[in-house]
Amino acid sequence: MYNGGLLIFNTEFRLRKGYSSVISSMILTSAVIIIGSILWAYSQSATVVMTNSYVDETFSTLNNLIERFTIEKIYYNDTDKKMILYIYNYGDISITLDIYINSSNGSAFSSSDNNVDRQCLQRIEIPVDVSSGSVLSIKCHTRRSNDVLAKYYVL
Amino acid sequence: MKMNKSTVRGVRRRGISTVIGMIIFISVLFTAVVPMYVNMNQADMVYAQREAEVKRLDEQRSREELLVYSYPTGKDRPHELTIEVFNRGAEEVSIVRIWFNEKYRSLERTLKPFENVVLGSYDVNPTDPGIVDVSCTTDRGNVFVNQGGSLYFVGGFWDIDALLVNVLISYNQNAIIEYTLYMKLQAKDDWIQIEKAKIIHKGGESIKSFDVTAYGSPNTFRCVAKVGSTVILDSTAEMHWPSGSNVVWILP
Repeated sequence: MYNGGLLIFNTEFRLRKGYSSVISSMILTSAVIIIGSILWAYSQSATVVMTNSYVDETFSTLNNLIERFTIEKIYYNDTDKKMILYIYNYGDISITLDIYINSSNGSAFSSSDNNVDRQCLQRIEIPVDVSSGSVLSIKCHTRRSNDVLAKYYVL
Repeated sequence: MKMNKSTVRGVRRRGISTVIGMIIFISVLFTAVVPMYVNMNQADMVYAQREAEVKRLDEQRSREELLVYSYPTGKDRPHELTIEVFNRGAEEVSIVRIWFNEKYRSLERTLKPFENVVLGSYDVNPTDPGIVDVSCTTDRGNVFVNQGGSLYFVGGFWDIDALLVNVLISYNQNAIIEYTLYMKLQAKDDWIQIEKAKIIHKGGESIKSFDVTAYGSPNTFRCVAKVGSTVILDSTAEMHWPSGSNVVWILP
């Protein structure tokens, strides 16, 4: 009986003997797969973020570079006390302008959020009250940080 | 014997995780890194392409040379001005607007290099007395003003500041250029000398302007330019003000 029992135990042990190594292999493989998947997901999201950031920055710099506009006409309407500017955007992207006018007598005027579509001429009126003989320094500043400067002599 | 079996089995299984790891590494490489590289590269290509286009636009813009002439259309149409343009540059120029003081007319007219075109006659409805400033805008954002300056409308007639003869010299060396301007005597069909000037030329192109208001118009002028005894220019130009521009160019 004793010997027989040992025999049974030995037989059962022998039958189960391969499980632990299979299980350990499965655990190891699962760990590799899980860690690998996490690594893959992380690297995927990280590269997507990096790519988007790089592409956005590149196109932002590009838009800054390709902005083109000019002050085509300036005149002062003495009756309405208005400065009239014609801005011609001859570039391929629309622009948003802030205009600053400084007079030689010290007064300053401005106009914000002036949109000029691509390949378009935009008339912009700015209330300006200056006397004859004043010299006006005009600065057109885009939201992408490009400037066009002009001077105007009020007759 | 058992030890040997176990060792053989262990050796057999040992590479699985390495293989899976390699597969994951390759999949990361192909699904994340390569698309990132491709997208970044495409962005760089678009950047380089657009940058080159803009540089080309800037160069073409700087090479635009348009001469704008404005003169009265005729006595029967006293409020109208004729606009004539000459594309002196090597680039095609597209005119998009003509300005008469603060008002403009839109148009689309493309001029080939060295093409001279009369754009048309325009009713500018001038105030009397009044000043009319004429300019043309190109699609590349250049504004070219009338060569003859402002036009004055007084008592129903057009007037100008001066009659001018502009002489353009293209000479690639430093030199002292001697200009002699002649006017044609209609009666004798002969040239008489009216102006003389010496100018220090520093290579490339230079322009010498002669005020010929005192000699009147219509008239024919001839300019001879010399470096030492070598003639580098001998050309004529006709002035037809008021039925033509008050400024004429003598070109090489």
